[in-house]
Amino acid sequence: MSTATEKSEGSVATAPKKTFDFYYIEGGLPRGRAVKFINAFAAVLRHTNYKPLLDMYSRSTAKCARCTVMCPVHEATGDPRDIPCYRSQLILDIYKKYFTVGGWFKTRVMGEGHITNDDIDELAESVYRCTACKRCLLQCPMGIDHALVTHIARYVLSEIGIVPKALRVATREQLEGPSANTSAIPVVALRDTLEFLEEELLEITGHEIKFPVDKEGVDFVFFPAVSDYLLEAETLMGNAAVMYATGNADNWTIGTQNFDGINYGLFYSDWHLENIIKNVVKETRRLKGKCILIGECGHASRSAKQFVPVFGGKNPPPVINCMEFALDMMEEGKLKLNPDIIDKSATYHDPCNIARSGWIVEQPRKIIKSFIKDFVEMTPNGAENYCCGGGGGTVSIDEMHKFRMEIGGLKKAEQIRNAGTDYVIAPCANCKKQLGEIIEYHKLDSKLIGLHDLMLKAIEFK
Amino acid sequence: MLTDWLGFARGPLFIMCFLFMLLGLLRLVVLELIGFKNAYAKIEDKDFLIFSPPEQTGDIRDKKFISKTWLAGIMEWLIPVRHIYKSKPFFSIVSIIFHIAIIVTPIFLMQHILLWKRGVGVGWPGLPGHLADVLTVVALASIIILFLYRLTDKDARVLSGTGDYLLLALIFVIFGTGLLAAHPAMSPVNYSLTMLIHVLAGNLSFVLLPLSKLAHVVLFPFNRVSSDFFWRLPPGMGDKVAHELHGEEAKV
Repeated sequence: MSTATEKSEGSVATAPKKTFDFYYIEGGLPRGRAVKFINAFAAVLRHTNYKPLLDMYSRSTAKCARCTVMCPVHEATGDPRDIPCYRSQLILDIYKKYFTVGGWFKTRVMGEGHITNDDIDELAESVYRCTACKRCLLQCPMGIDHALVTHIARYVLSEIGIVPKALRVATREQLEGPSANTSAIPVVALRDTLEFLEEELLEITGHEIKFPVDKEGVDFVFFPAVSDYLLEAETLMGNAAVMYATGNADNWTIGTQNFDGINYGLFYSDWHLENIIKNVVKETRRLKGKCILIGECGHASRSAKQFVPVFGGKNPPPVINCMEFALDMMEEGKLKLNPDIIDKSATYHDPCNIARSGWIVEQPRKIIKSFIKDFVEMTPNGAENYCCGGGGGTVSIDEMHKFRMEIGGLKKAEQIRNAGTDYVIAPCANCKKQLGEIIEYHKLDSKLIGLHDLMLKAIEFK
Repeated sequence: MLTDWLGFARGPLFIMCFLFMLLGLLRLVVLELIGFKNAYAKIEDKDFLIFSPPEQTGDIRDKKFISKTWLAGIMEWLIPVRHIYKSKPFFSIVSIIFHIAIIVTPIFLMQHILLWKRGVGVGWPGLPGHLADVLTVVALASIIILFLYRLTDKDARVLSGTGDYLLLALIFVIFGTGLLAAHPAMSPVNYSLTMLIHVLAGNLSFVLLPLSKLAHVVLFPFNRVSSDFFWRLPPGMGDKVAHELHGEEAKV
């Protein structure tokens, strides 16, 4: 056994516990956080459905360590504290101690004391080292969803003010700020950007492709990850081109009161998750749209798909992802991609949020195979893919750059290197930012691109 | 003297422990069902209530589809052949053998069945004695391997608590004394004493079933669907939590 592992193992037992050194909490850590944490935990258990869930989980963890080989973070560090089950145990132990009779009894018998600020610090550091990719669930014989346990821990922590600043500031702008989106883009700037993109599209395609704004009574109300307007303009142009080419040019719209699909609530707070979903539904209803169309964004797609039915009131609008839509159109014969334009090889990265449950795995592959001849799969792929390393909101936390490059994204970097293709297709704003940085950091030869960016080059207009 | 104790242990004490187990496990199941029911009651649009990932293909409002995917998920892990090689294959195989041995042997052991027949008048076909012996030895061997795995595997050792080792040790005692009791001639210890330890350890395991991680015998099927189910939160609950903690003016 190497000295490095011995060292890390020793630190579990004896351990001067590290506090936050890799990301920043707004206003510093709260005082007396152990007590505050228990109060917040009690409030969360009182009003949500989580109590029977945690009850069940805390009674049935087998501690078999089969999840260790599934976690990309643990594979990179080898640190036992990165084992998914170990992380869940931190919060399940607190749950047992304060909210179950057996835990209370054991605490008395064993003479254990209360939890301390250090325990909260360890928990807080641990839960933000998880990319919430849910890969561990695939090999847990007990079916314990460690990503959900981590989510609950993050939610309780957020109620006592322990949230990475980057996530909190973005969500505050989205829910309480004047621009109502995470990147604080004012409507004027949005209109300018769209006008500029329309000119670009005219140059590239020779067609007058428009971005309809605030059009009422259309079928599709479009919510991309708002960062696309700043960083991934080509993806948006691809989206618009698909709508135009399939005869839906006047059948979709972007709402000016809310045009952001991003939902950081999915990562750290059910409260914000609910409010953001409600805003999306509200905007769709204002425009009398029939359907919520999500752009190339993994977590926006999943949060809308999973929670619009829960928080959207009666008869919530259906949610579809732009890749599902494109494939539907292809199968109806309305969308044709020219197979002779792109002669480079490509591989496809599955964003965890849409691929893990098997929802969007085959759709993009069918689209890609229809116009790219040299398609290479990474292994493993599909529902068992590796996370890009920036999931669970970590990609937004700049202080975690080193962690994402050297630990979270290490496996993905290997996979991309092994695939050795010209393009890496990643249809998720989150993954795009992370993989772009990974390719630069690890000096890989592939080029990162979105699916709709490629489709834009190959679309055949009638 | 020893035989008196033995009579007590496998008479009234056994009945008490067995009933404790049945009621305890029943309580867990009922609590979980109530939890599911409350979660259901708090959801506004019940049309969308499902027992499987919402993203899965198929009509999510089709009850047949729901129960089918749910059952498929449970069956897949009840007989987890497909998953063995994905992670720690040796441990996984030993673990499966261990489970089969410790479930089959006590239920289908001839001597146990005779006791049931004498006590409640119900019997069922049992295993031939030799096969039962083999299964018992297999169980003992697999317990030793699992114990060593917990001690030697870097990850499993960190996760394991005292309870995980003690439970394995308890099951080892039950099967070890059971083997000796079935072959008194081989036993170095007095028959009655062996039997007493066997029965007491068995009774202890009944008591521990609903109290320890052994509860997975009944909670296992619920776990499979829980994460999709319990994350469907009652609308408005986020406001309630925030207002309770930070007052009506709670901010992001």
